[in-house]
Amino acid sequence: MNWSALMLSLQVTIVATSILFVVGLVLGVFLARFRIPGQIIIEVIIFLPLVLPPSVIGYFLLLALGRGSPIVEWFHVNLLFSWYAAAIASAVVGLPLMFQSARTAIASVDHNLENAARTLGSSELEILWRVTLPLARRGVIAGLILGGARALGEFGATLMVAGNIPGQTQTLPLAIYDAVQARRYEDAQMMVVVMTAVAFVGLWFVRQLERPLNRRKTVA
Amino acid sequence: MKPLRLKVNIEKRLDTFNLSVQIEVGAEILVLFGPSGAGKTQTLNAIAGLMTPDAGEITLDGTVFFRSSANKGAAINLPTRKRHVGYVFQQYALFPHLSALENVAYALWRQPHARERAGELLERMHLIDLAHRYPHELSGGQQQRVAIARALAMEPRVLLLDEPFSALDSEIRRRLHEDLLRLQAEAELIVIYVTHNLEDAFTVGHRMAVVRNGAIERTGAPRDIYPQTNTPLLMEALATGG
Repeated sequence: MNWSALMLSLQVTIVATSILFVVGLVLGVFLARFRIPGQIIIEVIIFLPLVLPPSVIGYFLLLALGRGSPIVEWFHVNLLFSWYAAAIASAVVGLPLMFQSARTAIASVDHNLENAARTLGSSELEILWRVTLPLARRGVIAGLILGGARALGEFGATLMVAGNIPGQTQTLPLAIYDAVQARRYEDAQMMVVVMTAVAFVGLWFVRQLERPLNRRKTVA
Repeated sequence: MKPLRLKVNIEKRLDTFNLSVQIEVGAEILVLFGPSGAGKTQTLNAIAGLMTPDAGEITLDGTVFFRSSANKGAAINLPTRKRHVGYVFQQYALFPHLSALENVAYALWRQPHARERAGELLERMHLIDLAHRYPHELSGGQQQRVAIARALAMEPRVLLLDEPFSALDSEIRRRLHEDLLRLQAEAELIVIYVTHNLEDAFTVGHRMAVVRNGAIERTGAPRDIYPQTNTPLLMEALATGG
């Protein structure tokens, strides 16, 4: 068992999931509640990582994070081949799952409830916080788990932008690849079991969330 | 408190007809009576700020809720949250993730003793034993009483009710009408009560306005508008189950 890879994977996944939470929620709220010009184009871009080969995502991330990109020019930070790059790559591939789930849940909240909150003196932000998000929480949590699980399993793009440096950027999926290449099959087997177990539990939990509510969502 | 007057004079082009409503309401229960699709709900939405008229003016004494630019100077459209208008929706619209008490306390959350205040309101509505139940654990009549308590929590001067009791049986409806009359008198509320049920109009309305195709057809005391003779309109309204 490669413990440093496991710890690094946890670290990368936690940061990636935090990014997913903020970015996915903001995008979900805006695209569920407002008509935005170019809405379809924005959505297509968010969903692209679902279908693009990891090498293409990695290539775009190299452009975004590499020399000459605004991030390097303006902020003078080079994230390439650090675990931050791994976290960003993981967030990008997890985003479509988080976004889809969060947007659907937010869009399905009864508009009448939001109108009721308006008549009770709530600002739009307050309504989001006290009515919409609590009622959409199952979808948001499900999206976070799906996106987080996908982030945990990120391999291809991570390899391209963060490399495969043991102890620095080598996450579990990369360590498994290394172990198999070096014919350390027992080592690989342990990590495969861990990855599969985590994914299984995550998906099981999402199924639980999707089961019919005990409480009715809207009262007719 | 000085009795206020709510003045509504609005125009709005809707999909199927043009809404053109002029009403003035004091501390009384005005029933907006008419068939579904006549523009009654749209009128309430305009007063609450959930719909923006094309032209006209809505004022509560000195407070301008809405004024189109054609009327004296700059346009005004006060956001819903600042209008302080209680609204009881047809579908109750209680927050399903909050208990009865939390629903009533919703508008009070920034104030001290919000829960105590909410408890008092539930007490007045004979609901205190159900304070910790969730909406789906309450009957229709109980839910609507919670919705009224919730709307009254912020001490509005204006209370709007949209077909509030139409899903309830007549015995419960009669008791809720008594509650509503009592609450209106206690707080000198301006109440607008939308219904397509003539019986409702007669039990609860101090005055009624008949709405047809987006316009007010007649206004007056229910008995004056529909004297106990067999007017065709009355028969029609009663026959359709109102």
